[in-house]
Amino acid sequence: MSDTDTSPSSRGTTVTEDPTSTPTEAGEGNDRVGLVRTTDPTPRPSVLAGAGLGRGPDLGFLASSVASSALIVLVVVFVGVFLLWLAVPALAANHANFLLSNDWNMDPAQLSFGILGLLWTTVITSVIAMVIAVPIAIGIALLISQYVRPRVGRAIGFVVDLLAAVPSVIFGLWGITTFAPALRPVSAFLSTYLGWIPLFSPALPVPDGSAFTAGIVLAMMILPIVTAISRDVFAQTPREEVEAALALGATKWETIRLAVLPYGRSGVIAAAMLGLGRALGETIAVMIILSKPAGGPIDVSVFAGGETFASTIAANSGEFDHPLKTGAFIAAGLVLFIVTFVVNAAARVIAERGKAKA
Amino acid sequence: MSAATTTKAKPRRSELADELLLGRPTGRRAAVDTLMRILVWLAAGLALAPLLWILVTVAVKGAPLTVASPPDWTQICVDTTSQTRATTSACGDFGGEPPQGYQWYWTPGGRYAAVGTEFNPYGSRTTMPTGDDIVIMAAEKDSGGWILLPSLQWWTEPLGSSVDFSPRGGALQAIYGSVVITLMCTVIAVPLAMLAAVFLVEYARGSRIGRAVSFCVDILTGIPSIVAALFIYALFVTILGGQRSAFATALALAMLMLPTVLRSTEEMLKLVPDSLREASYALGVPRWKTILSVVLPTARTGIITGIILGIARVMGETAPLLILVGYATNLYFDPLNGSMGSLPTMINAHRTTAPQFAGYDRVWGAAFTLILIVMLLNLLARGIARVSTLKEK
Repeated sequence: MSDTDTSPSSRGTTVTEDPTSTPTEAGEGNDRVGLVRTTDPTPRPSVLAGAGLGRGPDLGFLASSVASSALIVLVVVFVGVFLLWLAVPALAANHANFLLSNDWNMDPAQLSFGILGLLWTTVITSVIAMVIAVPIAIGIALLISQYVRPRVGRAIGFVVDLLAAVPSVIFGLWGITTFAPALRPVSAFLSTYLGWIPLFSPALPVPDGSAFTAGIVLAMMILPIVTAISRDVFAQTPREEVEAALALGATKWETIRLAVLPYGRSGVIAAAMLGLGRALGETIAVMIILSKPAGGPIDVSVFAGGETFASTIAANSGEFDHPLKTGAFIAAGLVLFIVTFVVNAAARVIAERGKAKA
Repeated sequence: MSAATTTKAKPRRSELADELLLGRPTGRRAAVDTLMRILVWLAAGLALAPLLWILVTVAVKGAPLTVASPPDWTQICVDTTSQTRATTSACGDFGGEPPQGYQWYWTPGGRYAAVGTEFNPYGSRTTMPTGDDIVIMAAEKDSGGWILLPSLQWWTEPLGSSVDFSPRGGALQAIYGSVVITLMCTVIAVPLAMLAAVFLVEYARGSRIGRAVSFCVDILTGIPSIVAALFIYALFVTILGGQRSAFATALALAMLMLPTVLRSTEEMLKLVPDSLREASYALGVPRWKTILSVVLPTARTGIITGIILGIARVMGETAPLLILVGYATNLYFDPLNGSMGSLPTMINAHRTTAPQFAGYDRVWGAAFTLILIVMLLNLLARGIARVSTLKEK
């Protein structure tokens, strides 16, 4: 009888069916596959360990796959080593404090450069992006994993993933020509009524290419990755905990607050940090939107322009004609590499801790 | 039987029943619940809005140029005292001398050639253009924004030496460059990614070496594209003395593509049931042959999906192109030396064109072409994944 298909237990599994773990999504799991393990991480039975391991072509195949893996490890190590190697001469010739000044004089005779202004703009744009993107991403992830049927959830997830497919150069072009003019009233409102806070102090006329605009566009760009990881985490909430909350008469939101959010907390934090890593390193969109060149006094207002690490390197790529000048930009790139490395590594650690606890 | 069918149609019945039996939560609890329900839907709307906004903007501004070309020159009648456009009849015959106070103008084609009483003052001239340039008469004053002739020059001609105020020229050099650079990148990245994925799943699953490699892949995933570009610049140009070239760009893009393809391949290989491998080993098939003829073919569609999505990702990357290869408006075929155009750098190189210039539209034309290619690749990948032979549990 086909009745067995609709027995209560199997109906339960159709409801709990993870709406995201379809082969459709498996392919584009750029970052999240490392965070949310869909398969058992335990080693395979040892019976297979040596099975079929012959000689000749087998060793060749093993060697080439080992070599590929070794190349990846080497590349990661070399990124840091080579950047440091080329940055050191420029840092030695630097007349300014690299970390605490905001000079940007690229004359090789009296090279003086500091990253304070770059660091400020990089951080403030990324923070704006996080403040906007993370709550929205959590909302969408909850909608997909808790509120709608798997089929609808997949459709919404697909649309959000399409946002990730938009090239960043187009985000930049659209951001400065179409979005920034539309954002003027918001900037004007914030600088008028919150202008007493230094962060929102008015820079009149508010330039279209402000850190505020860049931050909001960055929020759109990191939204898909934060959403994708969060929804995978939420979808793995143990069914018993959800059902226990429902059995106690909790509403949908109370269930989410009692069962889903606590379970997914570390995963969401990890997702947010991966998004932060993206935002810190985003180049071309920020370069197109931000207008003010590096150097000069730092303006803490989000309505001023500025340059981030990535945007200043890309904007000045035409100036890589002297080893010391190149070295100065490579030094900025090295700082960016270290910062994103730390942020990404922290995300992985938080995700691993969360997984171990769960 | 009928009861069973109804429950199948409404899988959420248990929750509904709970609410009916215990009574709906009322007051503040119900209000908070409703508020949150609205908020999560609002969040989805907030993600959808910019996507639609971007797609519509790019399509409206960029699509016309890719299927039609503006005329080189548009002949219009201008009121010389107010410097605004007049009706064509005010100037009389097209060939004749206009009456006092009016003058024939030839203005470069494009979006702002002649709209309403405005005309494009940039590059406009009062003498008739010579040569075999296409001249179109703007018949009526209110003849809409675009004056376009159907043409595929966008796809068949390089931009060449077209200047900012000229609407001439296509984007072939940029499309060609993007395709060639992406192909080189794919050829470099895909074999490495697949071999490394085989190593991680087939040889080193769960081992300490496997975890170390996996960690490096995670780090590689997080490397910003500008840092990858700087690394290749440091290694390939400064230390090894190579040229800024399409090949150098492909190397940097391969660094960005590698983790994407590797992770999706790895996930797919993990989904291949061990029973298939065991069956193959039981038949005495050596391990390498098992991997090549059993494991990889089983995971084929998933791997192809990953590769296509990796291609879509690097197609839109701009930072490595900015640093590692010069932009060119002509077709150049040498990947190891010199400049090469590409769609992202075409957008970047021409975005500073004043919006009044006819040439400004090609920025959006390039944006439309790029987004079209990337979206088609994404849809293709989804389509292939849909017919995948391997289903996740």
